[in-house]
Amino acid sequence: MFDTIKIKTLTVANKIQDNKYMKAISNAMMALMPIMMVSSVASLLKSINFWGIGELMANVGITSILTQINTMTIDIISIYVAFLVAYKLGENLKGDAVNCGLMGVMSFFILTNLTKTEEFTGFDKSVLGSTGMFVAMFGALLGAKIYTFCTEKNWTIKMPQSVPPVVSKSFGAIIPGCVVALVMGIIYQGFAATQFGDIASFIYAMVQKPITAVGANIWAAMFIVAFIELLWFFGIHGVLAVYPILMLVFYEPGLANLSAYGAGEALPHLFTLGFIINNRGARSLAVALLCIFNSKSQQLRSVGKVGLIPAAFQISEPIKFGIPQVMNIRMLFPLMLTPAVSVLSAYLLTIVGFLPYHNGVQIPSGFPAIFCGFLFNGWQGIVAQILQLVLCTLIYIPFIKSQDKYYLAEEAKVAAQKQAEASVENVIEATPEIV
Amino acid sequence: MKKIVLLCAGGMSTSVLVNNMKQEAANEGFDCFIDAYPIDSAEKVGADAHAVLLGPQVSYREKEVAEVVTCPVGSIDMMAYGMMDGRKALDQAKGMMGV
Repeated sequence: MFDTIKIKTLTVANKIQDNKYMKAISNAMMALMPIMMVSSVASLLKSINFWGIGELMANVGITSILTQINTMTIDIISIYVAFLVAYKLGENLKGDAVNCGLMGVMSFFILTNLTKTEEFTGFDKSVLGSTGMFVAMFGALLGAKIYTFCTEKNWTIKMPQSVPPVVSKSFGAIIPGCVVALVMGIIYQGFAATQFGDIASFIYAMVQKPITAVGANIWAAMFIVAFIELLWFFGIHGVLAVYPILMLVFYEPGLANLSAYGAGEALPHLFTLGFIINNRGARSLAVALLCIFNSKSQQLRSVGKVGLIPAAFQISEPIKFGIPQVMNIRMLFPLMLTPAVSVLSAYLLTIVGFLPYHNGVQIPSGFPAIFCGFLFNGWQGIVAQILQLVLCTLIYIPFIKSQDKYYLAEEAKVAAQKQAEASVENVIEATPEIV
Repeated sequence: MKKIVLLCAGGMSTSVLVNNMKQEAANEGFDCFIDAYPIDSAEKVGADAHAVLLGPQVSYREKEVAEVVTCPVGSIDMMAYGMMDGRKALDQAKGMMGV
């Protein structure tokens, strides 16, 4: 039975990840990291406001530098998204990635409405920020696909052999590029004729809002974190496997929060990618501590020692495979329960008004557990993380105990066997003398 | 010199194992280059590798990796991975390279 479930989960995980378009989106989001880091650091610095540091920064002009940095990163994030998604799809389709990236940006711009007032014509910042993200993705995927399709079909202007390759390559982009632009132009014009006015409003109303709404409740959040651990149970890196879905549902709210945080406004969303991922509790740390301080078997104690430091830096693999929690039915229940309970506790702390919304700041993976809460939510974040660690530890106590008992019995059996072998050897060695 | 590439989700947890493998290799005087990378960079970092080892948590993508590199690809045993056993992982890599 186990095997069939495993094969089924594997197929699902593979299907989500194997899709070239989904993969392009999630790879692009990972590649977006440097921009997100810059914006996160700028936002965090800007939010420092004690001992008069805030005023000092404003007076010497640091605040306005940070504001400008924020505006040109998170507030126009969709431009970066458009390039990266198209670039990554170009790579996946084995096309010219850079040209695809350019097509992505061009497609996004063609699809996007200009704002015209008497003294100003240009993009409104809001259409280039997180609200434009789905348009950027759509334009990028379609643009890159059309471009590679045209080049594959060889719909290009052929140059004589003697023309240098660089020149003929740039000529080669003319027809595919024009086809992409034309298609985007037609889509733009088509939506202008509808009640929505532009594709951004259409996608926002018909795709983005419903998708975000599906994820914006505690049950979805608890289900997702438990499902991630179910994948881990089968030995699959859960977060990696469901990343594309997480991206689609929870990335945009996080961007909106970061943008608002940088601008010093109220954060709009409770359920963001960061809220879910970072409020799963320091489970591996809890398990490592239990192994070291509350276990007697050699196996658990040594796993605890190997896994403690990595777990403190949010690397869970030694604990996951060492206990093991993977394919170990004894561990399935706490494995799935602890992150769900942790997220629930964070949710409850939030709705009673203790825990601020997740500010959307992104930190490099491997940041110390517990302390990362400070960057997301201030000191309340640390309190929430400690509470989660306590909850996880309490839940795990009986299960680690039972695992410990099992290993103790095993170890006793091995020791007895060794002793028996040793005495047998003694007998054999002793026998000739007797004879 | 042999190049051994380890892959996991972000190259984080395998980097712990890499240190232990390097230690083992140094102890026995086995001259090799070992490093950890995210699995999505498999094609790039695996191009000149002699062996590619996957963390068990990404072993479900072994087929996909085997398609983009020319050297042997294998997955690390779960328990060896859990204990960050550099000896076993190095022996596995050496077995795959036939040295």
